[in-house]
Amino acid sequence: MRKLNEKQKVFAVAGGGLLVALAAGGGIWWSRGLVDDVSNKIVADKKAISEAQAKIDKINEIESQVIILRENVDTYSKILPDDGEYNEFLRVTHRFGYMSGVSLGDVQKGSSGKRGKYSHYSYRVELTATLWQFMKFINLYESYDRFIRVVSYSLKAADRDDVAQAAAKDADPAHKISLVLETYVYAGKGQGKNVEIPGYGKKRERLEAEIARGAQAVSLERYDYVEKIGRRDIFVDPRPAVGGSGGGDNPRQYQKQKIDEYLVRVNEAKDVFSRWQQPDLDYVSKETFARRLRESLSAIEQEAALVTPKITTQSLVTQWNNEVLQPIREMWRGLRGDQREVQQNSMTEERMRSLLAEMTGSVARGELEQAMKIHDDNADRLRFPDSDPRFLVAMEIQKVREAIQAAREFNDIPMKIDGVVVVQSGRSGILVNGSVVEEGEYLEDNLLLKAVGPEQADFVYKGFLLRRKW
Amino acid sequence: MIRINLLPEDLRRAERTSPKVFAATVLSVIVCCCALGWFGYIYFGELQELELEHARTQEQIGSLKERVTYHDALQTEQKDFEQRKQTIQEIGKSRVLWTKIIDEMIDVVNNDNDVDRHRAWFRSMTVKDGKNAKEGPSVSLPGWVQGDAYRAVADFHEDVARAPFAKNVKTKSVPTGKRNDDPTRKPSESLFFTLDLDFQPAEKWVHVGK
Repeated sequence: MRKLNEKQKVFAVAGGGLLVALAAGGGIWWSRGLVDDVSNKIVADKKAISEAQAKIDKINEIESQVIILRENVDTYSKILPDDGEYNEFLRVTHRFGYMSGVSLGDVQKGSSGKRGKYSHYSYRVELTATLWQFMKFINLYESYDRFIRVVSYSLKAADRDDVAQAAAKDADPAHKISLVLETYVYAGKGQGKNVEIPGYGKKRERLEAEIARGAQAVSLERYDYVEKIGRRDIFVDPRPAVGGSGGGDNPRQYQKQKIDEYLVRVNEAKDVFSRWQQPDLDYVSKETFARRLRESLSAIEQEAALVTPKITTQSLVTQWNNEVLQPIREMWRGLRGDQREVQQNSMTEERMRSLLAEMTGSVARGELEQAMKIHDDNADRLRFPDSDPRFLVAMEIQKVREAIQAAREFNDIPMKIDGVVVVQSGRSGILVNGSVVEEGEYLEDNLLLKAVGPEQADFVYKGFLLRRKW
Repeated sequence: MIRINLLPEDLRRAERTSPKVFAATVLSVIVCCCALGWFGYIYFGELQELELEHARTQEQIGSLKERVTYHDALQTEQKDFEQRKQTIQEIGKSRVLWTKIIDEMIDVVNNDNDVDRHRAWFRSMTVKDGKNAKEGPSVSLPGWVQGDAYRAVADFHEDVARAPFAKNVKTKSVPTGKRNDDPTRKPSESLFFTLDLDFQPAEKWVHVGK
């Protein structure tokens, strides 16, 4: 083999080196491609991780929201149920008809359709009802847990003959009504496919307030209709018929309502009257009841005088006289008769002042029982109406009696005083029944420690200042 | 000039690589080493490190996957409930409380028994739902006021306009009156009119107390 000359060798070496370098360069290029691929994957992974992390960070919040929503699903289901309750709709209509007193006619299925995940369907209901029955009937739907909407309705007023017939029966006329009711049924995902949330019970407990607020957010607006008796039917001609009876603006219901109102007030007065008549009543209580009764009877009598001309229906006039006016008169008689009796037995003002002096003297000497006996012996002769000038003296005597009673009760309160701290520039206190009580603090509901001295403590009991010494 | 080495072969000086070849060889070796070294650095260093990091991120993704799936499932459930709640709210707002409106209308008509101002009554009442989302319900009330004083019709319309429900009325018919005479009633005169009320769509209603 021919030997390579120097030039050839140089070329051979350089060529070989170049080939190897080129191969390595190719390798570098290929590796760089791999590096870029992997780098891109890493970037994508990191993005996915940060997104995942962001989602994970939100889990607690979403969990809470889901729990709130899930716990309120019962509310939603009540409003718009997720199963077909067509039968229930008819049952409800029947029940509401019965409750309101309307006469139901035809109930026919109307149009149906979809709204989001809800299917809606409607019913046309024909009925005959007085205005007030109709109001009750539609209000029952409007205050029902489940969503039912009154879409449209028409009311045709009762004709003149129907109105006359109803009036003859002392009843309200019935109108012909046709209304369309609409409700919805949820047709989306049912319950049972819910995600399992770990520690659901505890989380739900923590979210109780939010769950309650969530229920409010979906609660339907309602109107609580309360029948205001005495208003006339706006679908009836109120003008009286020529030659017929009037009173279109004072219907029987109005008169009945007035009687019922006054019966409540008269019964309340009767209750006070019977309490006033109790024989063992003390003077103050008896006078208090008498005053209440006089005020009550005066008010009822004055107002009843304005109502009397409006009670025109004969059967109600009798009831008004017998059950309202007559008892008022009887109670007045009772009150006035008692006053005459009291006036005959009562003592003079001079004698009363002497009695008061005797009582206060006994109290000052600490003879509480003696003071009380003086009062009790004369109690029956110390009753006066508030218009009598002796009434004020009687009240003074009564106040002394109450003070004696409070002092007796105060003496019976167990109080073991073990220590006393008198502070000149601050709140003094006592160690009583094992507890430290400072001035201005209550020992019991009715017992306030007012002031503490070195040898006594002043208390306020039932409005009286009482002292205990040691 | 041709030079001939006549020394015996064992005495001849060893043949030395020429500096050019040597230089070319050294240079080639350096270039090859650099190239191979660079390749090795990228392939066995940088790439392997990235592969390891990729494996770590994949592992991390794997570990988060369960929580992410949980999140997605929760979100789906949330969206479903939210949609349900929103629809209920929308449907709920579309409901008109007719008891309230009739109750208020009865109060207007009764007018605390002030029959001097007006004493009205109706022949019928027709309530229709709006034809589309932009239209609210409409009410038509043909009726009469007692007497022949047109003032009473105006007073009645004025009282209707003051009623709480009137806040949600878009348009109201103007007061008119057609004389009517019924000799069987006291008084026999009355004025016939039709009260038409077009309400705003229920979703836009202003709710005024109970």
